Amino acid sequence: MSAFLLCFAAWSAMALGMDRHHEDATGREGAARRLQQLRRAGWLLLLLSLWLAAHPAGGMPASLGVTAWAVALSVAALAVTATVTWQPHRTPVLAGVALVAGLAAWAWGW
Amino acid sequence: MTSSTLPSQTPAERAPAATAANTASEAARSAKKPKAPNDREGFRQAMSWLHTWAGLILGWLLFAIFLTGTLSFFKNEFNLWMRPEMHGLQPVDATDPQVAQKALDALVRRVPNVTQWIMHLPDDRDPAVNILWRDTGNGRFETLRMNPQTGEAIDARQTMGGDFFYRFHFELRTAQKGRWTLEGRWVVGVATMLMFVALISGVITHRRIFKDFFTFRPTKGGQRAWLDAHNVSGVLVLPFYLMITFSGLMIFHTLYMPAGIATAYKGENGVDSNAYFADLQGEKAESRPRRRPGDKVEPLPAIALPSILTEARTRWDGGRIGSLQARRDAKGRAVVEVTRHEGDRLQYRPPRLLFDASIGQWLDQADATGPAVKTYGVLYGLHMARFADIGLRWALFGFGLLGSLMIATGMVLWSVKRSAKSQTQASRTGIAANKDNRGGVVPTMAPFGERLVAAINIATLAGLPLACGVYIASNRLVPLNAEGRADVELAWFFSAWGLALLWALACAVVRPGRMGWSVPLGAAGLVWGLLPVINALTTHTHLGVTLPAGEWVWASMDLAFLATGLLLGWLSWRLRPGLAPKGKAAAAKAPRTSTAAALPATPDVSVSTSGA
Amino acid sequence: MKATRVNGRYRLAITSRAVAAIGGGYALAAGFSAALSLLLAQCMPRVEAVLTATMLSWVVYAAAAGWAFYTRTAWGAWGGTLLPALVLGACATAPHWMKAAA
Repeated sequence: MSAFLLCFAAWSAMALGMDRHHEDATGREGAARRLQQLRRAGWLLLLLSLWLAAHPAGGMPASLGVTAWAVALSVAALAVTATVTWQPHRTPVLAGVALVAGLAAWAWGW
Repeated sequence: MTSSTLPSQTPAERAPAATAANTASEAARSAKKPKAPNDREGFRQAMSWLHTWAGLILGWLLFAIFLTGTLSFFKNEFNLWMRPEMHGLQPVDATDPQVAQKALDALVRRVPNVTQWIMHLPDDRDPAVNILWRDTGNGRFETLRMNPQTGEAIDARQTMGGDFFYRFHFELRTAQKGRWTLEGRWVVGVATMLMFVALISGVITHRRIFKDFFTFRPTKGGQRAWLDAHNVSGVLVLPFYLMITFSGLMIFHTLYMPAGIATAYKGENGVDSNAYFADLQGEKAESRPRRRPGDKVEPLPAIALPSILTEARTRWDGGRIGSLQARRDAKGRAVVEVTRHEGDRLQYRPPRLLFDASIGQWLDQADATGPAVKTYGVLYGLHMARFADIGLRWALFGFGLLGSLMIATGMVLWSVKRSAKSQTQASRTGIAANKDNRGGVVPTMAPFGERLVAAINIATLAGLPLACGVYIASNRLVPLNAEGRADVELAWFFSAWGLALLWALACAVVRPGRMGWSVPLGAAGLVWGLLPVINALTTHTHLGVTLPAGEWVWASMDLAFLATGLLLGWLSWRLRPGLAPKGKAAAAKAPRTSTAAALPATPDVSVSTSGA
Repeated sequence: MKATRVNGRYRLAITSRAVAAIGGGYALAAGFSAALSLLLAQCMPRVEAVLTATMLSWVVYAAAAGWAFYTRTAWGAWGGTLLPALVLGACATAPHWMKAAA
């Protein structure tokens, strides 16, 4: 669950770092620098989520954690696509919520 | 403006500027010999062509393979639901040795001369003890399902259950004791390789793969929406598709690509394939003899089961036992092989312990340990998804559905583009002359090939879901004592599919139109949606019983069937004839409404202006 | 892959490339897996060598298919698949010939 939430936040950052989706979400054109920052943040978040997934709670082997992360990666990408298509204005907020919830979920072993 | 005036079937160019430039340069090149310029664009064009045709040739079969494979993720649940006699089995303590002992005693009472048996112990997805047994040297296995508490056999109805989807998926099985399994596997292999090529060429040819990563514009309608759907369903789940396809090729590599084995395992007396199979499993070749038909094997002796089970549990320190097997090895000694539960790790096959059957002494353990064999095992295990818990399983199921959707949108997109091209070609060559007496324009018939593909699209993409629903329904409706009951259920499946094909062909010939899609999808929606009702009328494992009792394995099946029926019904409703074309279709949210453009020769739909 | 007209010559070229991709590509992949298996078996267990070579051969097959439709002419498709396939096949069966000759 934490993998999905963190990946959702990460992909959202990447999406918001693209001209088209940034405009849809905020109604303004994004400055090139800002977009690049968002995309970089997205990549970093992805890497973080992978690292966290490779250190799962309980007795779960790392290989299963990484596999679950790979699945969550795609599910989250689909979720972000749905969000930017049908609820573009809510994307930034949802991304923030997902980030916080994801970190909390990992801390609690989900 | 159509994207390409040449018969090379490249997909719609993204930017109009590029289109104009391409057309111009194409025209300039048209005077020269057929040539692909050695630059990025030429490579992309070539891969685009390859992608289209690799996908199209066996696209309909790929859809069938992918969809039945997707359903197979839940084959255990289907197996259970389609044997309502298994309802009510109490879960047992997995570590209780009495479970195996009672089942074995019951088996030996039934088949005193049993020569080999494989016993799957109950787990969270299957509450019964399943035994495969035979009393011959090399014959087929029979199956027995036993109550885990009493060991007695359960008299369940004859059906292939979820195993039909599973076996159709990888060997195109058409009968319970089908004999064309090798040929079926070959055909599936060809389709898999084509999908592999289509995936890779698709990635190469997708010019804006990063920019369009999250882009989905269903409101645009026409080719744009279909292409977006194809791209989104294709790219976002790409790791899964690549894994599934590649692992599929590797699972049957001994059949598809034996050259390496034939070379490296060549010995004095030809190729020692037994040694290869043993190495693959991480075991010694003599522990598993390969017998020829007609070989005689001595029946098994009495087996020291309790001590074997105890020692196995100790050695695995808490690991679950998945199955037990008793057989005679190549030297004729009776051995028991204890296999760990498949859900305990990614790598397939699970580790095994070998014991002497009569005295219960531990002999050996088998597990593949080299890096390449482990990689192979992990690929295999990822494909089979035995490791997946319920959450992951539903996610993988969703990926499978998206893969089927990716294939489906690809095939429909080709039809849409092709019909758009022939429409503009037809209007260019002045078919304005084709007016009927009242001054209206008679729809021109699309070329035969196009109509055929459109018909196959309907027959497969709508017909297969219908056939699956009919198969599940037949499980409740075919009389229990029917002769060859399992094959009767399959006959219902193939007949429904055949009817869909006839309907589609009739539509293609007689009256191309949206009804072609709407009717089979509507029928499918009806069948799936009625499954819980049919279930309630014919058994006592219906929602009225299973929901209050919280039996989620049973109830979720009925609920999923209902949801599927609703979804298919909704699709059918959106595609019904009489829905106003193009103007309203473009304004509607779902991309499906632009299926209006998917049908050949409907002159009131001008696909080509929809942003292609 | 561009064409001027969909005539018999075009269809022949396409068919030729397709056969080169499907048949020639398979021959190349098989030859590759055989030769590499033999080579790797010198320094790792046989099963490891075979699996590594076989897994890589699928990528070779896909690349060959891509090549067959990218090269300038249909002859190029055959040159890129069948020729290397024969060479690799010879490498893979060389020990056999050498033993027979000895």
